[in-house]
Amino acid sequence: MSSQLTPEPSSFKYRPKSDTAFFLGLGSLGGFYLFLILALILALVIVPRWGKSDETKLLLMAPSLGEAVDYMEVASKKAGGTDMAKEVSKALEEARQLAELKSDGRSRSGLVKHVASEARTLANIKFSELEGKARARNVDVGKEIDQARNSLLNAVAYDRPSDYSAVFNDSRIRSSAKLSFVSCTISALLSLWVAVPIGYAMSRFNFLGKNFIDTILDVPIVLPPLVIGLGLLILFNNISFGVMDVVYFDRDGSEYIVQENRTIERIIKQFGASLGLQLRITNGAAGVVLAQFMVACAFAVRTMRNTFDQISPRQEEVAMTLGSSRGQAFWSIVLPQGYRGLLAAGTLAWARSLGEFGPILIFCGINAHRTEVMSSSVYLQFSIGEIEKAAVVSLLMIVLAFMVLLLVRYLGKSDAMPHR
Amino acid sequence: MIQLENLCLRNGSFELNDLSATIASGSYGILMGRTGCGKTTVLEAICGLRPHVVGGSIRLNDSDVTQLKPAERGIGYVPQDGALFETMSIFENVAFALRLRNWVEADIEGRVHDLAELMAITSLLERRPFGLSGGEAKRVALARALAASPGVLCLDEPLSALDEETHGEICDLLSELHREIDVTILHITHSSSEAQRLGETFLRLEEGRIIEVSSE
Repeated sequence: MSSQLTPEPSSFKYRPKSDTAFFLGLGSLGGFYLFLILALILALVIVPRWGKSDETKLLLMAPSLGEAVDYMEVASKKAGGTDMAKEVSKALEEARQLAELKSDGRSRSGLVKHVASEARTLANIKFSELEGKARARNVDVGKEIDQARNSLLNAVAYDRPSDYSAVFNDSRIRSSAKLSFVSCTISALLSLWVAVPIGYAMSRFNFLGKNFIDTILDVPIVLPPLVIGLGLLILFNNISFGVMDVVYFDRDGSEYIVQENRTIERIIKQFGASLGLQLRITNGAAGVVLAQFMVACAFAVRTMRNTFDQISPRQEEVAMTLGSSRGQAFWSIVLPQGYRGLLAAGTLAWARSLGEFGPILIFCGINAHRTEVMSSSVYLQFSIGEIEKAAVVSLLMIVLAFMVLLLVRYLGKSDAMPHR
Repeated sequence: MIQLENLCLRNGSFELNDLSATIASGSYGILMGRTGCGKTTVLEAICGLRPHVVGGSIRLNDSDVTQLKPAERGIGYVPQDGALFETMSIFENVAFALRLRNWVEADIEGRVHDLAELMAITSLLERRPFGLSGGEAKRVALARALAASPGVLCLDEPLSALDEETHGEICDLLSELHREIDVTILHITHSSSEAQRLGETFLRLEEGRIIEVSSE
């Protein structure tokens, strides 16, 4: 064999390719996505701060003021002939004057302030007094005056410094934020409770039908969330296990019994009633947790299975030869090693639950103070044209999610979490 | 004593049939064979780690352990990688078997320190396994396996992946342990020199059968 290589290497000057294009590609693709995320958050931050123009505020105030006038007209008719007729028609007149939105030389912004201040005084002082008098004199106009008051206060609500204050002062949204936080936390904990044993079993044992079970466990991941909601609704309310007596109350308080289908929802209600409790899954907070859990748990199971797959079974085996049962080996060896995976699974389940909307909408509806979660609030506000309010609620969700992710990252780091 | 009687093992499509061998009580047995011939499968079957056994029996110190759980067999096991418990300190690793047996804390401390002295790992007791050298990890794994005074010690290539100096040190340590502790040892290795230096009974796994040879 010839000792000379062909072609002779020293005759070529080799220059490795530059990495500039590679890093530019990395930077531009990554940077583009990062830019999109930041732009999206920035848009949500900016929009509510812009607020509405004075012109728009007046336009939005007008229907509420008109409603107040309508209610007062009804009240005035009802009060005709009573000793309150004069006072009610005077209040009606004041409401009418306000609803005309006369500028009287004021600027647009001055007019907004004037109308808001007058409407507030009218609602909180004059109408309140009037309502009290009507009740004292037994004149049946209380309901109309109360509705007129609410309409005036709705008009006042449009004169606000920003949509932030409107959202934070809205008890309905505060309640939805609270329900979101609590339900997400409960569904994440439930998901972990279920995902740890399933993930461990799927990772460590081989058994008949394992592939089939594995596929079923992934179904909630690929299924559209709406379908999960529909499935839950049908399961709890349309699948019948015979018939049962359901007690109803008539308007006069008398009870009557009707035979209806024995559905899971009714069985739960009946069981709750026997304990003196009002249990409700469909259209209740428990249903919100269940709908969130159904989706979130599948992700937690997948994460836990991957976690256990990455932990070598050798340490457990050594522990068993040293005298521990499989259970003891699991608690003392496997689980402490898998705590990062546990945190990841919990976070993922929590985040999935926070964003869940479809199944909750179908299974529980959107009931204020009961089943309305933040994602439902965003949808509601958006659907009534309050895009700024929807943006504030979305921001609130981002802040909440960011804080939870940050906390979990901190706990997942080195010694922040005790090893045993 | 380790006694295999017509042992049949199956691990998926891999099968070993009619294995018989005896390592006398207190003896140092060496099991050799080509890579992939099933040495580790035999060791795991002795430890009871996988449901491999489809026939025959395994007797350890005159009792039939074929159907017993690993925890009930009275064995110490050192796998190839040591498999130290990563979330525990070295002290806790060595004390693991003793805690399971509900020893009082003072006795645990005494036993762990005695073993640590024997294995020259006293200075490591407060550390975690992460960052230990190969030799240190092997010493800790041995101390942990010996803590509950097992009747049988199973070593799966305990000296692999060690530098020459450390290899010699651990060899000396195993030799010393065998002299000082009354334990039957089954040691899997590929190294003839290691076998010559430590072994008393020499077994070779060839073509699905265990044969006893006079020396390696």
